[in-house]
Amino acid sequence: MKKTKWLVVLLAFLFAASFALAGGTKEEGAAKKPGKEVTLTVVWHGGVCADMLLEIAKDWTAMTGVKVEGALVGYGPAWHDKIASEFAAKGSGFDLACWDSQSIGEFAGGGHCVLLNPYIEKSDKLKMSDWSPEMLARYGEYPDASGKIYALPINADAEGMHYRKDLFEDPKEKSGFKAKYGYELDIPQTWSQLRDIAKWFTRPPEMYGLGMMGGREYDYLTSVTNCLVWVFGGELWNPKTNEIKGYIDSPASIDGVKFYIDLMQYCPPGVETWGWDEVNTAFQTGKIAMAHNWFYFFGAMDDPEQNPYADATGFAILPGEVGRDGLFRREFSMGGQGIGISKYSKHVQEAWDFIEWYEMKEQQKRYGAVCQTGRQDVLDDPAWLNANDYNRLFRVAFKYTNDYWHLPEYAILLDILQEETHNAITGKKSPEKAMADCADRQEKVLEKAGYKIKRTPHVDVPDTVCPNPCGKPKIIPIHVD
Amino acid sequence: MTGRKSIAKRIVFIIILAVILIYTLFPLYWLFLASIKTRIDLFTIPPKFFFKPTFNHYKRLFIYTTLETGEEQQTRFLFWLTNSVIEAGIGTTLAVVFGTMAGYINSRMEYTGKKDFMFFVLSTRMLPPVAIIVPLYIVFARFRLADTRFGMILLYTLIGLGLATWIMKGFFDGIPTEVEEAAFVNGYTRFQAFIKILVPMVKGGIAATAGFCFIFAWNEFTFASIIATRYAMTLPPRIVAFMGTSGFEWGIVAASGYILIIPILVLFILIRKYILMGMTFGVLGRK
Repeated sequence: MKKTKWLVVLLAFLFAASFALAGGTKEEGAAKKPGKEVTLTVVWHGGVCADMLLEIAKDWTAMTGVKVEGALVGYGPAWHDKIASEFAAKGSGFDLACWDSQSIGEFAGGGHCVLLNPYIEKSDKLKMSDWSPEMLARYGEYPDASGKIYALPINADAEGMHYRKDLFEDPKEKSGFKAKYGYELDIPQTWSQLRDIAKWFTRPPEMYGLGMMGGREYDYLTSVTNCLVWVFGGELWNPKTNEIKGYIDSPASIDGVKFYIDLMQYCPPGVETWGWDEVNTAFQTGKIAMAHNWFYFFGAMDDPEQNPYADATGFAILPGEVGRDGLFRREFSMGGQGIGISKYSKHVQEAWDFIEWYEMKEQQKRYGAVCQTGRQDVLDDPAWLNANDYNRLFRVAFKYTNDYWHLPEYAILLDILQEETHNAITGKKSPEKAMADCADRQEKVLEKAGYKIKRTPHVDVPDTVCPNPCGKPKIIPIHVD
Repeated sequence: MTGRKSIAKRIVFIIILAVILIYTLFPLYWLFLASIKTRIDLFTIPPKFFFKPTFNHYKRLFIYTTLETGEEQQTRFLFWLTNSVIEAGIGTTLAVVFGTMAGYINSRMEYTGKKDFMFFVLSTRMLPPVAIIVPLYIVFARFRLADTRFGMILLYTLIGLGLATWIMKGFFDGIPTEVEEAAFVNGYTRFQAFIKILVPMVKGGIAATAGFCFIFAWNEFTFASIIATRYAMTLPPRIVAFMGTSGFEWGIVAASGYILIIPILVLFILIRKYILMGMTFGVLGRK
């Protein structure tokens, strides 16, 4: 009988403990109920940019009493899924979210984000012209060219390259390279030159010419292959007609994928599984002479504590290429995130007040010391431009960026593109077959979602965001001093 | 001759044992090395076995140095660790308590739809978490259970319950009904017979079941990464968010992984003799 009593007591205790813990642990280690106190929760992937945001936000808390807490998750699908599932549930688990630029269609298109135009128009602290039109468009506009802004840039990013200056400037290397290829060993202005340089420095197993992402996961592979697709004159789709067939499987797009496959022979083994972490590691361990990488990581490459070759590391803008139409294009993937407000937040006004303050020049200058800001006056500020060797490059590089489809179906389209491109680079399918299958599958997704695909008689690949000097009949080098 | 044979056998046995030991312990050794190496040392090929160790990763689990001022602040590592202990611990206990009862009922009683019920219980373990996470999250959010410790405890209880029911049924099946009948003759009620006679007989099974449920809840990633946001966040999903300027902070990930392993290691040492019993649903390892 005694034992029975004990069992009942144990069960009662466990239930009581569960309820007590559930109700009373909303704050770390203490039974606090927020009451009128407002706490804003920001979802982002962990990292220095998020850390910096939360550090700066403490000043906002000191000024207003509104707390800003981070709900940081791992980079990649878990981060996207975290935001997407909260939106699917129409939950108020977070107030602010920082999402990848390409997710704007999915989240804003799904009706989950607060339209920021009325807030910006009323604001005496921010105005639309604080950012370049392309910056606002890439991170916050949906639908494209609609002028409707759902997010402001929080971490602007673009692809670039870093290389081993000590190797590039070595007289023996320079003369040997010139003797073999007939031109100076220098920062490549075309992908063909980059391939020559990669080939020159490939001396396995000690050294390889190039490191680049190639993994099937998230957007690793296609953030690189897209650059090549675009520079060869290809496109992911035609946003005006919703056609994908004739674009991603066009001869120009296939040229880009084939060029990537060609480059793989100058990369360390296993590049088809690589993300940025592997690219960084290969460079930091002296395995590669050049790396195709995000500007986000350039700070680490410039830091002697993290990169033993920091003093010998140079930074550059990615090259372009002459496509089969004879035009030279320079385009590359953009990265980074915008910050938006959840429509289901209970503190929309407080969330806006925080964004409004955080996006001001004063805060963005502090943030810009660690991460890439989107504000034009900070990007133009000589102090910021001269803070290191790559900020000036970033300002120029961003003008040449392009992005995935800004559609609500982005996540599905990305997965198909990743899968089929990966099939092509791993030899499971020919590039032609892989891209044709990709186009077929992606169009089915669009059709199922209700998009009307208008067939155009002639396949005209538009350069959707191609700035001057993109699509020119001659190679136009970029030199940033 | 026989002596030589026995020595040879012993040597072979020792070699096999050594291989198994290396196979089992090397990952733990490697994880520890990773936790005390710098990023450069960690990725150097061929791997470095002799290097200048750093315990900075362990420090950084608990201390955050601000980027602007270099001021040191406490991290939330202990909070996430506490959440893991509470959510996995209470979830496991409840799953085992109810699973033991359910196992007994389904071992001894006949009722309409019993087979269907047992299949249903089993089916809760059939779908991969990723397939049910969004609808589950919607349900949790609607009932205000998302991002609460109670919600996570409930989740781990429900997940563990299916496994616990099936394992414990196997243990009760192995006890002859005559044992309870003898207790009934002595004036015990069914509940008293269950608590006083049967539960002590299956305590090995209970320990093994608790071990399996706890390991699952302790390591669980997918549900926690979606359902928990801040207040109920556990360690496994938070570990992957350790990212620095160079990419993933593998040293910190390894250090926190090492800390994450300790409770499991202790638990396994405590219940090691019951593990085989649990894995075979009580058929093997019973003494």
